Amino acid sequence: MNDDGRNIAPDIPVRVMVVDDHPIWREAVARDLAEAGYDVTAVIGEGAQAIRVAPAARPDVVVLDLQLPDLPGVEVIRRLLAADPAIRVLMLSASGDQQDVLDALKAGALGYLVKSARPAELIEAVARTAAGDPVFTVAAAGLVLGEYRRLAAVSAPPADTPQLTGRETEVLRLVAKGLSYKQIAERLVVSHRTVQNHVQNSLGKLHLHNRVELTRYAIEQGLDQDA
Amino acid sequence: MSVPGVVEEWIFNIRYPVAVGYVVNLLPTAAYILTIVALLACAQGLHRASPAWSAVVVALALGSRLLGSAMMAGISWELGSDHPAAWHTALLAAGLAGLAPAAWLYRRGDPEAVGPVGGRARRVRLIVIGALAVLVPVLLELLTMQGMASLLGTTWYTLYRHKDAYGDAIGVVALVAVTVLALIAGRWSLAGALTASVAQVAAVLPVTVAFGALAADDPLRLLAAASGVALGALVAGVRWRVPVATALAVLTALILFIAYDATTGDPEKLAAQHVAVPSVLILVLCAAVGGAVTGATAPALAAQGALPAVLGPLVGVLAVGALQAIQAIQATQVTDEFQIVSQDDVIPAAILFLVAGLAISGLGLARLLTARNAERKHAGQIRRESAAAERDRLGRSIHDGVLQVLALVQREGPGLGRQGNELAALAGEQEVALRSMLASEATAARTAPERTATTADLVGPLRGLAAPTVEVATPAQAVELPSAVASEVVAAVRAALDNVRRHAGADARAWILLEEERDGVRVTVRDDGIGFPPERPAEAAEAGRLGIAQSMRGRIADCGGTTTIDSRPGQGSEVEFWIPRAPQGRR
Repeated sequence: MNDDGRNIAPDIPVRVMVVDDHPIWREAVARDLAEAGYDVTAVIGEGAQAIRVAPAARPDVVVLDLQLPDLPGVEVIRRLLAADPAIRVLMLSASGDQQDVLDALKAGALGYLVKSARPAELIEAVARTAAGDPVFTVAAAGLVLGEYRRLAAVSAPPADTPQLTGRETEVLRLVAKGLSYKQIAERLVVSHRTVQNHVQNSLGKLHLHNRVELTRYAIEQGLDQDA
Repeated sequence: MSVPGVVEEWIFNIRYPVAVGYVVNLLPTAAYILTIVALLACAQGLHRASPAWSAVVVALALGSRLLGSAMMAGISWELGSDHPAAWHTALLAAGLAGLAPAAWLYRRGDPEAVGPVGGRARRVRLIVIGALAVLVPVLLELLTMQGMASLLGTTWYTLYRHKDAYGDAIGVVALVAVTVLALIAGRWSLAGALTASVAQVAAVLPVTVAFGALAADDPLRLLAAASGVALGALVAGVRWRVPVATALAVLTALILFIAYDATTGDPEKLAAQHVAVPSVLILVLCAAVGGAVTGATAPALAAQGALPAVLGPLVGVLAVGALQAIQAIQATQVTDEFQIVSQDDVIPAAILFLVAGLAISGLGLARLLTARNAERKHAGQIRRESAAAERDRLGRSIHDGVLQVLALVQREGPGLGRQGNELAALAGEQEVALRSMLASEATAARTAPERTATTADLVGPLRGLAAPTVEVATPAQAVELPSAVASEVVAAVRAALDNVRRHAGADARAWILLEEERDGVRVTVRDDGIGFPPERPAEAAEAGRLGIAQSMRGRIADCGGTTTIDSRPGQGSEVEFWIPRAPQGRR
C-alpha cells in the first residue's frame, strides 16, 4: 500500500489532521507532531466539521478521537473514507468500548492507540499509518481475531465470508500476545516485511468484507436508487 | 348406553360387528368434543382482541353443549334412536370443519398471550394431551358392564342391579384419566378443566329434572335453556366474571337446596307435577352457571395457550363420563313420560355447584396474584435497566472528563522534570485501573439481562486484570462459560499473573489473550521475563511449592481442560489454558 509514492519522499512532509474534542489534548498532539516534522493542516474538535474540512485540508493521516460529541467515530471514518479513500485513519480512544473499536477497524481505520500512549509512540504510530502499515495494539489484534472467529462460527457462512489463512492467524495471535513484528519474524523464520504483509492482509480482508456488506445492505434497502 | 347385546341392533335393527357399534357409540362424544375444540380455538384467536370475547365464546360453546346433551337425551327418548345418530353426524362434520382453522390458529400461537404457548415441544405436548383426552371416551366405551364387572371382580348381573356403582366407576375412570392428562398439561390446565367440568357435571342432573317438568312441546323449554346460555355468555363477557360466576353458582346451590326442602326431599315431584316456575328458574340458572364458570376459566387458560387443546377435550370427556354415569342410572328409571332422577342426586349437584363457585373464585384469585407478581417483576426489570442506564451515563462522564485529564497528565508529565515523571506514572496507573473497571462494568451491564445464572462472561473479568504492565486482548463479544468454570479460569489466570510477578523479574510485562474457538475457549498468559527451563514447574511441584502446578493445572483439569506451559530461559514464558466446551454448551 505504500508503493503509491505519495509519502515516501522525505522532503514532502506528511499532512496530518487532528480531530479531538478536548482542546488541551489536541493542541498538545498537534504541537508534538509539528515538532516531529509533520505538517499539521487542521486541528478540529467535531466530527461533522472534520468531514467538511477534509477536502480542503487534504490530510494523508487523520488522528481521530473515537468518542466525539456530535458523531460516532465509525460514522466519521466511513464518511472521510467515502470522500477520499486514500486517507489513512489512526484512531485514539480513552476508554475504548471494544465493540466501538472493532467497528472502527472494520470501517477502515488503519490503527488503534489508547490515549495514554507516550508522545514517541504516537509519533511512531502516525509514521506507520502514513506508510499504510496497520498500527495494531494487542487489544486490536484480539478484537480482529475474535471477529474472524465470530464470522466463521455462523452455522452456514456465506461464500464471501473472509477467512484468515493459517499463517495469518498465527501472526495475529502472536501480535495479540504482545510480540513485536521483529520477534514474530524471528520466531516464524520469515522477514519483517512478510509479517507486516500478513497483518495488512488480515485487516484488508475485513475492510473489503465490510464494504461489500454495506453495499449489499444499501442494495437490499433500495438506497442505491435514491443516490 | 352400552348394555351388551343391544349394540348390534341399535341402528335400523340390523346386525353389524361389535367394532362398528363402538364407533357409532363414539360418534356423539367425538362430535361434541371436536365441536368444542373448534369453538375454543376460535376463542383463543379472539383472545388476541379481548379476553372477554373469548370467554363469551367458551361460555356459549360449553353452555350449549351442556344443554345439547340434556335435550339430546330428551330427543332420543321421544323420537327414536336413529335421529340422534344423524344429528351427531352433522355435529361431527361441523366440528371437523372447524378444526382446520383451529389448527391453523394454534400452530401460529398467540403472540399476545401472557404465558405464551411456548416452544414447539410444549405445543406438540398440548396437542398430544388433547388427542389423548379425546381417546378417553374410547376407554369408557370399552368399559361395558361386563368389562367393568370383571375389572371389579364381580358379575355383570350384580353390577346391573347396582347401576349407581357402575355409573360411579365410569365417573372415577374418567376423572382419573383426565386429571392425569391435565396434570401433564400444567397446573393452570388442571385447575381450569376441573373447575369447568365440576360446573358442567353439577348442571346435568338439575337440568334433566327441569326438562322433565316442562312438556316436550312447551316453548318455555327452549326459551329457558337459551336464556340460560345467553346469561352465562353475558356473565363471561363482563369484567367481573369471576365474582359474578361465583355468586351465580352459590345462588343455584341455594335454589336447589330450597327445591329439595320445598318438595320435602322429593325434587322429582317438580317433574311429576309439571311445576313450571321453579323448573324454568333452575334451568336458566344451571345453564347460566355452566357457561359462566367455564367462560370465567377461559382467560386464565387462554393466556397459557391451552384453551383449544386442553380445556375442550378435558371438559368434554369429564362431562361425558358423568353423563354416561347418569344414563346408566337412568336406564332403570325411565317412565313413559319423563326421566326420573333419584332424589339424592340433587343434593350432590347443589354441593358440586358450591364447589364450582369456590374453585372459580380460587382460580380467579390465583390468576390475580400471578398477574400482580408478573407486574412486580416487570417493575423490577425496569428499575434495573434504568440503573444500568445511569451507570452508562456516569461511565461516559468519567470518560469525557477524568480519563482525558489522566491521559493528559501522563502525556505531559515527563516534560516537567522528575516530579512530573512521578505524576505521569501515577496518572497512568489510575487511568488503567479506571479503564478496566469501566470495561468490566460495561460488559456486565451488557450481558446481564440475557445471561442465565448458569453461565458467566470471561471478557469482563479478564479485562479487569489489565494493569500498567498487563495488556489484555479479547473478542468484542462476551465469551460465556458455565459460571463455575468461568470463575476457575479467571482464578487460574490470576495465578499465572502472580507467578509472572514473583518469578519473571521486576520489569516483566504480561499479555492475556482470550480466544473463543468453535469447540472451546483458549486463554494464553505470556510474559517477557527471564523465563525458566521446561523442567522447572515439575521441580517446583516436587519441592512442595505447588503454586503453579495446583492453582493452574488443577483448576483447569477440574473443568475438563488442559494446561500447556512453555518457556525458555531469556525468552519469557507462555501458559496456555484450553477449556473444551461441553457439546450442549454452545450458545
